[in-house]
Amino acid sequence: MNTAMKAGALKELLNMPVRMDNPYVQKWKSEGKRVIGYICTYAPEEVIYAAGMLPYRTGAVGCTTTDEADVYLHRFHCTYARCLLQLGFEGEYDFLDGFCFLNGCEQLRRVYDIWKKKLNTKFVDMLTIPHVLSEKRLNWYIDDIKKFAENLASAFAATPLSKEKLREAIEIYNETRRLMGELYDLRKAANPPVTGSEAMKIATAAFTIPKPIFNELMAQALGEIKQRSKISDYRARIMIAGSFMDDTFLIDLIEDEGGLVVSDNLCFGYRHFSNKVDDIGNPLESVANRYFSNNPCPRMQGEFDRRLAETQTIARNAKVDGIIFQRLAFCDNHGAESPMEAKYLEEEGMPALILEREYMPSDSGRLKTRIQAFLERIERRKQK
Amino acid sequence: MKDIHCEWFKRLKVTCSLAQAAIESGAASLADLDLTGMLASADDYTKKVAGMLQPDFVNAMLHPKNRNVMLAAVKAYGEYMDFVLDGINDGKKLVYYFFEATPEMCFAMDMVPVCIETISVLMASFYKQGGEAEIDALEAEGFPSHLCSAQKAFVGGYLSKEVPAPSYFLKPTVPCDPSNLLFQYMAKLTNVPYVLIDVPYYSNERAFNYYKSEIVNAYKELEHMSGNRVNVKKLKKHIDHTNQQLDYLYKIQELRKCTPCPDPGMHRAVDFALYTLFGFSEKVTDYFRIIYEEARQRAEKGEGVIPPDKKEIRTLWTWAWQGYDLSLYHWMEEEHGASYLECGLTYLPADIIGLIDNSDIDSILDGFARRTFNYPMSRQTISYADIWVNDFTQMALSFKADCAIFAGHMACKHGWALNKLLSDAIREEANIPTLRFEMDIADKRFTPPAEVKKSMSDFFETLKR
Repeated sequence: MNTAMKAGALKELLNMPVRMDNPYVQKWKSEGKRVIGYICTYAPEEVIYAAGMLPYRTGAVGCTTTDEADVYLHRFHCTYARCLLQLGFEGEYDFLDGFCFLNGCEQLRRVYDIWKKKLNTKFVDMLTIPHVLSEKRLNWYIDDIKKFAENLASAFAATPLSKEKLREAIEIYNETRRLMGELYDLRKAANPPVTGSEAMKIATAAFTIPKPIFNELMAQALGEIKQRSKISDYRARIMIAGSFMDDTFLIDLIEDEGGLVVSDNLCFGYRHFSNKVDDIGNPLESVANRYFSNNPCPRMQGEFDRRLAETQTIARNAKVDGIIFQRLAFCDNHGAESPMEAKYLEEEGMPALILEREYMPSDSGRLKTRIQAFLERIERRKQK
Repeated sequence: MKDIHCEWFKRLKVTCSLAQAAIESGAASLADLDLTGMLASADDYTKKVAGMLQPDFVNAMLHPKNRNVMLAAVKAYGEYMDFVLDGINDGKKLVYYFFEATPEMCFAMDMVPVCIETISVLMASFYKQGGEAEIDALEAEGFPSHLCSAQKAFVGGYLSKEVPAPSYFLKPTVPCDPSNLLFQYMAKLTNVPYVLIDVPYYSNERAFNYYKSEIVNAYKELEHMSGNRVNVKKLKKHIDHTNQQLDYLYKIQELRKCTPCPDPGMHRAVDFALYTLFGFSEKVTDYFRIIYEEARQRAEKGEGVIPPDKKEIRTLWTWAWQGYDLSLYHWMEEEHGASYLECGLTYLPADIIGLIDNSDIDSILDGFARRTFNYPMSRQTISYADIWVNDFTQMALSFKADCAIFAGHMACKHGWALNKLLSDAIREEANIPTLRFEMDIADKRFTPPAEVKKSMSDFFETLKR
């Protein structure tokens, strides 16, 4: 059955299983095709897809312990890195044919070393990106993408990356960005038709299943979303920013307390889906330029003002009442970025809350108390 | 002195003078030291600083095996503090740099380079209360405790008006996220230009060429912004110093392979402070020369730095040292006969770095790039785990280590992620065990000195059995 004709696309997207429980991943694998995990939003998915392989963003939802990972990592590492490695040890990522690591942060880039030595994924490679933006540095990234593409083709005796295939992939991925942009636009309304929790689930599906299927489902789901009743009984419009987050635990806590998450500046959300690839000239360079120049992660040095401006723009467009910076314990990049952004946002009158949390759902009592207090603060501010 | 916040620099200068006077008094221990007599004609500020010093540090510094080298160290650092204070007073441009950037170019551009990690660690090393209050001041702004105290203390020092704003920041993007983020914060706070040296991943020719061009461009940028041109003649003079210092350092590394080890462990943390001043002056050369000469003399006589009645336990420190209690290394030697062979913060591979070709500016920049590309913390963090693992596995064998010690600074996430791979490889290749302990390099509150000593005592007692 053509997915586009299937009823309940939204329901399907909201309930999309992950890893090998995902029927689309199962089907992809059953057709003898490869799945390549990737760890960071600076991995150019189009390059993997153009090689005929499925790029799969490696979250760690469902991890309940880090016992085995902690033999190699340490309590000073963020629990996302530890959970990801744990799932590797538990065999949850055995379906991956390859894994593309990046030097995004100190912790995840070191998971590469452990994964390569201790796990049996056939192809484990490192793709690297500079810490500073400029044309010369972009060339380093372009060369590294080419090298990665060659390694990928070589590992699986695949045909070398072609411009035509890459252009097809760009078109598909740009369509995903357009559709996700439409979803973000709907969330800007005074009475949005979708919760933050639902938006996160849709993003999870986008990172999990082949993009052509996602695009068909999403196009239909957007039609369903527009027909829904609108949400009006919320206390405050909240934006989420900060560390890697791919589950709804924290958003659910916020929305259970009456907040409505209407936007984000996350690498698993807005930052990943914003800004299309402008396919002008060499498609690989166009892809590289989009990822390199996109709204930067805090690991990019010298870009604080731009990041702050981006947060302000997203907040303004989504008419948010407050921003919650959630940072994973021991996440250095967001650990240092969040108080800086929060400081400047507060100075201009935007309430900002910094919440430290673990990757695995936990500590809900403390988090709820902080969220309640934040919502009350916003309400008092509104009443003035 | 103009009304510029220089309390830390002044305190360090006075501390160097006090240490020099204490050593030159001939006292061989704290108990021998006539502190009252020494301070009789001192001003109130000097007396106040004397009261801030860590007694265990002073005691270890005065010990006969440490005193000559420590005298050279405080003379060199005292001279440097004069240079910093005079430079600030004269309105020279102050450059705060991360220790893997290199100071010689700044000297040659008539600027005043200050390595903020050295200052933070020296504060922790010298004083009962190092940078703790300043670390708290930064964390009170919402910054998490797991960032690096080697920057946290200094940034807190700026917030507390104990160090001035610089004219520029100079930061390579290795070795870690915490240092990058805290330099960025300080640049934002002070609204001062932030010159970045982008350090690529990998340790190969492509990466080296990219890195070298980053260094060349960074100094061009500094020249352009400041209007201060590189004085090549002056630069060559500083490189002459550097090469002498490197030459001694390489020889000292070789001497530590002798059994028993002829070089006291306390010097390694002091090496760090002095190699961040490579090229500064003859006094820095004197420091490395005296270590070399003393170690060579001991080696020739077959003497070590442990008491004659102890059996030597040769320790290889596979990552950092702890910087807040420099008496630890003296204690290890005296209590357990444990010598300190090498560590991740002072190991410079002589065969790769070599000396700097002083022919022209290009060869000098090439030498800088080669050196800092393979510097402590660069070499280990710039690329895959294999470099670190292989270096220390080889060192365990060539230094004939009896055990390894992984002193894990809590902010070094890249290091902690390798400690298991590293200790497994060392056990497999060299058949020696590793003790690992958690610490914060410049904040004694994280793992107090007594707790470190307890862990080490237990470990050494196990080894002795």
